[in-house]
Amino acid sequence: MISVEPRKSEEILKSLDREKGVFFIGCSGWKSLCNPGGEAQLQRMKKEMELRGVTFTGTMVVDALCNKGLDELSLLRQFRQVLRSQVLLVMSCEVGVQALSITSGRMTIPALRTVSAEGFQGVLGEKEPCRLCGDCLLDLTGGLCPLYFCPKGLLNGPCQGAYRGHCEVDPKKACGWELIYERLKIQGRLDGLQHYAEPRDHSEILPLIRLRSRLAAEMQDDVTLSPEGGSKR
Amino acid sequence: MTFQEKLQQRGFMITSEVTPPKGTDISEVIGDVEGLKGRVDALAVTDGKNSVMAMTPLVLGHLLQGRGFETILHISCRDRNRLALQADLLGAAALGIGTLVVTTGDYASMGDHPQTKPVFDLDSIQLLKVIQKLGSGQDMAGNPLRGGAEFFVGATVSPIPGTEAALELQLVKMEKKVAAGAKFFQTQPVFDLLGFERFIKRAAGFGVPILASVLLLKSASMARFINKNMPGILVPERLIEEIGNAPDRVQASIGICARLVHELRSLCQGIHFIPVGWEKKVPAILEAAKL
Repeated sequence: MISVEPRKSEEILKSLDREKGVFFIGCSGWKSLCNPGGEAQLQRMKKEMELRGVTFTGTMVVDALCNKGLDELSLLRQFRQVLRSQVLLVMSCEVGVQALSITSGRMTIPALRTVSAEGFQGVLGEKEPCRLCGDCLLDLTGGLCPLYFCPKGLLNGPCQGAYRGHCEVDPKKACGWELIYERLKIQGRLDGLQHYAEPRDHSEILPLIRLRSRLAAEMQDDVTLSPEGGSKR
Repeated sequence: MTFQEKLQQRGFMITSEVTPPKGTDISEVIGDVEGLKGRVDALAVTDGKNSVMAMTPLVLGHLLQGRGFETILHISCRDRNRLALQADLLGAAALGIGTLVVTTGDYASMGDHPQTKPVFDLDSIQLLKVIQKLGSGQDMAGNPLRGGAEFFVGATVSPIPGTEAALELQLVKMEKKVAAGAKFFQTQPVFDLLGFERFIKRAAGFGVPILASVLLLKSASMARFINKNMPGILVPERLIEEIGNAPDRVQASIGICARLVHELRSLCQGIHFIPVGWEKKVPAILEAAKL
């Protein structure tokens, strides 16, 4: 399953800081598969943000934000509110954030962090990739993930290997940071490049430890609750 | 005068690149650089350049210092995580190597061990910040160090990356590097003077000395190889023709480099030679360029 957790409010607020007109869009997803929280979670987060002085132009919950066709239809449904909003706060996995960045053409700020897809064998959205790092920068990189588009996973801008826009690792591909630059330019948000991205917290990124603890806890519960009791494997 | 002192007094700097050997025999390297003594301000020792496995620059740098050369240690983010990078930096400081150039590092697939797992735990800007912290007597996690590690740190920049977006990105990143403690810059090899001048006009505002890299073109085929395989560098066709048609290609090479050095002199604060085996020709280039 895909595991998502709410991002720290401070992190979200930092991205929202200077923004006027925030539209909050959430995903209900599939409970057994990704469970981003739906309407209830959206209202909880909205309330917390409002207490901290954020005003929203509107809210909406969509079934599966990773589906761009569905995104377009949903945005059309509330296009007036969306037009009045410079940014979209997105409560979904990071695939949904990226899909919405493309369909809306607006800055998308993740409200959740995607930390694991262990055991998940299904199809993740369409083409939007997510490395499940749990430390999302999509709001500062025009909705394109540098971990995916830059082979070196550089977080603070490009290396010096690109020439005429082509990546040193695969000259048939564009330099990921140039793609990010062009996207930010369209959004009028080139100042995002000035942001200093801290080194990754790999103790957070590696989901295995967390997952193992959870599985172990569940296993323990099963053993304790089983009527036979004693037969520990 | 040390590299740092001369640079801070706005002297015109000359450095030359040294690539550690693949193996333990350093006699060839020593023989190649012997003639540079007194002609260059420092030797910069590369760190796994082009992702080709070679001796650690920390050891070669130390051995060169023992032979009377000041060395600049290149440190790349490709091969080591934050523990190993800090460990090597402490080692460098203990060996008296006080000048660094921080680089991202070429991607592993470009070298002679393409199956390598690339690390890139930190990027160059994050590493610069870590070095700042080591200088204040603390490791990256904030633990106190017994004996600090102070460095004079430089970084690299690509002055003519080929597109507008790429140049803007290089300048943004350069500014971030300055903010993270970079005190000088070494560029990728320069052949296009007009492009370089355009870059310098934009970069001058950062107020940080820039050393332009001059790569010794040994032959037309080498130039073509560079254009085909080396990221971020383009040798103009007219230079390829000039060296290809010359009766004496060594003299032609020296002539091309001397011309470049002479022109670059008025544009920046120093020259960083990349002799790729032709270290012995560097003094002749300096003479021809009247340096």
